[in-house]
Parts: sequence; C-alpha cells; structure tokens
Amino acid sequence: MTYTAIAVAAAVAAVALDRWATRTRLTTSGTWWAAYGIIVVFQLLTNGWLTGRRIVRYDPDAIIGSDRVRLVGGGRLVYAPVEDLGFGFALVLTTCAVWVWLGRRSGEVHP
Amino acid sequence: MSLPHWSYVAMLMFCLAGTLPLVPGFRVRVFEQPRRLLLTIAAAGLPFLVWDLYATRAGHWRFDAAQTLPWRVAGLPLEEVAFFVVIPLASVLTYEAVRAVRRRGRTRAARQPEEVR
Repeated sequence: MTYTAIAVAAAVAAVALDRWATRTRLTTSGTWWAAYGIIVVFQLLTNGWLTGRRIVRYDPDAIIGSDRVRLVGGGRLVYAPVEDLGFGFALVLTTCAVWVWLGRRSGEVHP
Repeated sequence: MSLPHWSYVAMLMFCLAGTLPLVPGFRVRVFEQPRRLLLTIAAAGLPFLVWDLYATRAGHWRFDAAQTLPWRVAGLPLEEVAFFVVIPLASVLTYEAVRAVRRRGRTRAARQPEEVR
C-alpha cells in the first residue's frame, strides 16, 4: 500500500471511530473544528520545516507527488506531501476522540 | 553532535513552547488528569507509531541522519517516537483551550442580560 492509500484509510477510520466507536461526534462540533483549524496551520508550519529541510524524505512511488520538494503544487503543500494532511487529521481526531471518550467515562462533564 | 542534529528536536520544542503556556493561560486542566492523558497518548499514538514503523520499513519515508539525534528505537529516530507523545499532547491542550474559551464566552453571554437590567 502507498502512503496515499493509508492516509485516506486513516482519515476515514478516525471519522468512523469518532462517529460510531466512541460516539464522541467531535466532527459535528464547532469546538473541535476550531481547534483543528488552529492545529492544521501549525502542522503546515512545523511539517514544512521537517520536509522543506529534508529532515524527512519521501519515496516518490509512495506519494502523489514526486521527489521534487516544492512549496505548493506537484502533490506538495508547504513542502510536505498532501498525504500528511490525512495523517495529521487522523492523529488529531483520534487523540481528541479518545480524550473526550475517557473523560465521559470518568464522569467529566462535557457539552 | 553538531547543531543540525537538533533540527527535528527544535520542531518538537516549538510545539511544546506553543502549547504548554495554554495550561496557565486558559487554566486548562489536563495535567490534573495524568491517567486520562497517558491513556489517550498511548491509545491514539500507538497505532500511528505502528504505521510509522511499517512505512519506514517499506521505504515510504526516511530520516536524515545528519539532522536527527543518533539514537534509534526500532529503526526510528528517538524524535520520531517523541512526536507521538508531543503531538497528541499539543492536540489535547489546544482542544481544551478552545473549549475553555468557548465556555467562557457562553457564560458571559448568559450573564449579560442580568447585568444590563
């Protein structure tokens, strides 16, 4: 499987976790989207550092783009493969869903 | 070790420097719940760490030895393992800070009509 395929699958799995497994339904809450909106900006910055400086390098066969590290275009966004957006979305949503789910189980009041 | 070896560490420090001040700033109660926090990091971080191990083995991505510290955990730079602690922590702190701001906004909006009277 390529990075592209796994990134899409991970994003879908994270939404499924949020909607049906933990039933936290963060993807229907403005609070979570506001938090994700902030995080994704910083993700682009920090990930741009990691990929723009070539601290992490990608196999062109595993991504939509090539090994040409561009600011925008050619399957890249702020130097990083666009697939990283799926990775980040899945990681942040999974984290918040588990956090809220554990909070509810321990009786933490949540709107 | 030369300065470039700290390049990845610098990124993780930037994430912590940006999110840890949210704790006093918005009176976010996250570290008061260490069990919940550790379970969250473990449950959310582990599957992504497994994905990372697979992707690194499969050659989807690789790390520049000149810009990471020399220590490796199952073939991953120590920083890459720390990433799966730092990012979930930063995510929880951001989410809780936004929640605190919105809750405060709601409380103020509910109180305002009385103050007008």
